[in-house]
Amino acid sequence: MDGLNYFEETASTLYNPDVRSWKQEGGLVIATQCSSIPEELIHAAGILPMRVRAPGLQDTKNADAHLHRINCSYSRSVLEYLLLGKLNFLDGFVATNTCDHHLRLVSEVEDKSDYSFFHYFQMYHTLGQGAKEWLLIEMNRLVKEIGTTLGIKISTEDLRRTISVYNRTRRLMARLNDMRKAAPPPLTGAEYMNIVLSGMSIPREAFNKRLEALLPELEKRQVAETRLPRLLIIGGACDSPGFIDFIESKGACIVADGLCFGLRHYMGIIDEAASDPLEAIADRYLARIPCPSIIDGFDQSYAILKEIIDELDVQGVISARLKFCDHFAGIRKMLVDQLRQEKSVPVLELEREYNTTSSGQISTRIQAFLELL
Amino acid sequence: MGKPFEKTMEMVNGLAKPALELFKTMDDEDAKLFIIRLNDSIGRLEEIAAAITHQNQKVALFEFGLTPQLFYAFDCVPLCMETFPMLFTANRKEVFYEFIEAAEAAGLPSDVCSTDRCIVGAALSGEFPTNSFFVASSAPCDGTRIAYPIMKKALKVPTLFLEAPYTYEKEAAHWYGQQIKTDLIPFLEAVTGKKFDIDRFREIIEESNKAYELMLDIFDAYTVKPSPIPASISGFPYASFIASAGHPRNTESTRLFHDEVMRRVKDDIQNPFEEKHRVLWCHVQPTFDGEFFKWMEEKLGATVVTSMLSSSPILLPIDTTDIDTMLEGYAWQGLDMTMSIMRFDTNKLLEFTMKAYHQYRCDCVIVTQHVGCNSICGAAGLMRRYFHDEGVPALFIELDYNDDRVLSSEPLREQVEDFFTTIMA
Ligand code: SF4
Ligand code: SF4
Repeated sequence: MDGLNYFEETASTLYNPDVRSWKQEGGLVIATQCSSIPEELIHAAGILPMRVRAPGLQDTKNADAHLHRINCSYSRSVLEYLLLGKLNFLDGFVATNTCDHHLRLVSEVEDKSDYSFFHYFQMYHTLGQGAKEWLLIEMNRLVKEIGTTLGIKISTEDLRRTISVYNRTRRLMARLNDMRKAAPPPLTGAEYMNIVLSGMSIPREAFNKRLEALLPELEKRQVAETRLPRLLIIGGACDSPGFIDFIESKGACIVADGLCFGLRHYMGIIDEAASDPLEAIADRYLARIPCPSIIDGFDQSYAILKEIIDELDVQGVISARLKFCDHFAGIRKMLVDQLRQEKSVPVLELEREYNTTSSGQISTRIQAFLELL
Repeated sequence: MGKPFEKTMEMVNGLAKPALELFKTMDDEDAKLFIIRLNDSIGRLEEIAAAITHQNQKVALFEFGLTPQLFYAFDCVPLCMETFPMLFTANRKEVFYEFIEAAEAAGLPSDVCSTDRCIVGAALSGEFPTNSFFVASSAPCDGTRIAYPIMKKALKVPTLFLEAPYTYEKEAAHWYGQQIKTDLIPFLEAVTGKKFDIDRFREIIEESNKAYELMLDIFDAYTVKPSPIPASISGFPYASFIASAGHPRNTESTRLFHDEVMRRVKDDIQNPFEEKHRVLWCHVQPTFDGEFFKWMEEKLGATVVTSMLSSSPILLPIDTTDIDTMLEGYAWQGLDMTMSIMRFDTNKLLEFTMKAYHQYRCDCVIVTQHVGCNSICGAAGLMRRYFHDEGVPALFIELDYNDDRVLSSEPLREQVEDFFTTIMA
């Protein structure tokens, strides 16, 4: 499908043709280290925010000399990308401390890059009033830093324009997710992930246009009648369409996710009528499916995931934890306990490295799980 | 499922009390210090055990992003979670292993910090009281952030999570203090059924300030060369403060300890070995080998004079002028003592480390690469380079500071000996 090819292409590399054109026209690109950083602020400054990834990386031999082997392979891969010069096209970096791996990556990026704009955004880790206040303090700091370092003043009108662009994306993504309710869905999990990644890697307005054009195509798409098990996937730093494809090749269909390179990035509408747009953006971050680093976020996470499981007729959950990621170990344990208690769907617990797209052991475990379903 | 605190009291009655009696019979300069420490911990643990039998008394389980004064102000008995594993790691290893196994059997992977696995395992094994509540902050690490939600589900006791700032500045302490006012105090009123009494809180803060000032004096004495007391006991005032700041027993134990240290400084009583090296320990020291520091001193002439975690960055007693100054000071104390400082970015960590290095007149650094701590391990690259550039001799040891099954005493000692006999020779 032509429309889908575009998303695959723009997702497969960070410095993709759209970003090149953006830069040629004098546009700035700033990377964000985590989906919890309100990238709307960067967009409102007229800058392209890009969620940092390391597609296609094979190993992390340079980064391993700086971060430790017990730091997750996503954080080491980002550092490796930086050391290899693959992030040289960026004009700035917003780092954050979502988890300890990220926290240590903050100082490494600061030390090993020479971006004219480097900002450490200190993440909230609860969902209460204190967290909201803290998030607003941090958002104001970021706005100020963009003003002082880059000389760009972000106005209320800029924020409102951005909110409308982002809401448009999220409404389109919600339509796309609705289509996944069909059995079989009109697109595979891997195709869906390419769309998701593309949205994080190109200018938003262009993405919205492309997605809007794609949706009717997908509605008309003819897919073969199959009754494959419908799965939901969770896990940290899972941005590999190849890995999703590998799971689906065993005879399954990924119809939903709770990934930061997935639903977490796109869910939730920002209140366009709110008197304070910054606060409205903050509210959306706190209301979405929380990152497992949020200490009191499990109940909110569970409620959202359970609704998805029911609505999308999910038959099994795959938890693809990156080795050494404590947060996804925690959520996995609580999720397994709760789903078991409610006699809901089973969970397959996988461990992987960031660049894993396939493995013999994972293959056997997926096959056994699918047989169980 | 055992009875709450059963294993802890078995240890108190079976080991700590006999050890206390033994020290009392010894004619040894250092025995006095160990007696102070044992009396203090036995008293504290017995008080918790007694509280467990009274359903109308509450045990405050808390995480080290706070200190205990506010819990005393509500007549609760505090139990600091992070100090719990250390009760067993040196003396009743089998209990520690049992808790670890319980956590792993319940689904926690073995790569999660053993402190947090042990706490979760103890909660799942019924070791913590149920006439309790639980308060934790969101700092400093992944391990605590996953352990406590799991513990909340296991214990089913009222729980409050506070948002901790990751910055080191007055505004952040003020903001955390305001959360204590708007969230924690009402929470404590609800779980205890008591009204917050500012005068009582002030009294307790004043009590803890006495201990804090004594502790600062003691820290000053640790800068004396050679060190007046053995490293194996030097952490006592700090540990006691974390566990029971604001309790008269803490003040009294600290005073006794203080007087003994000052007497030694005044009379120029020194350790009975030649102090060749003064070591700054980064992060937590191995807790599974009670003789390790003594061995370092006797065999290598190396004294661990301080750790980067215990040379607290906040060195002021709490200002008791009004509720806001008290809460700000209280907030800051919780945030910047103990392992809470692991929440800082690596450059800030290095800044604190080097401040302590110079203040305590150290000549080398040992850094624990605790295998479950993503934070200290991830800091190694920048630390290593910094120490190299500054000419600070540094040894990085990969171990689990609680669990001798990862690196046991013998290879640990070999690595340390190699360092002192080659690099430091
Ligand atoms: S996968 Fe886990 S450890 Fe890695 S960056 Fe994400 S939350 Fe942190
Ligand atoms: S050692 Fe590290 S992971 Fe463990 S409790 Fe301390 S800061 Fe957290």
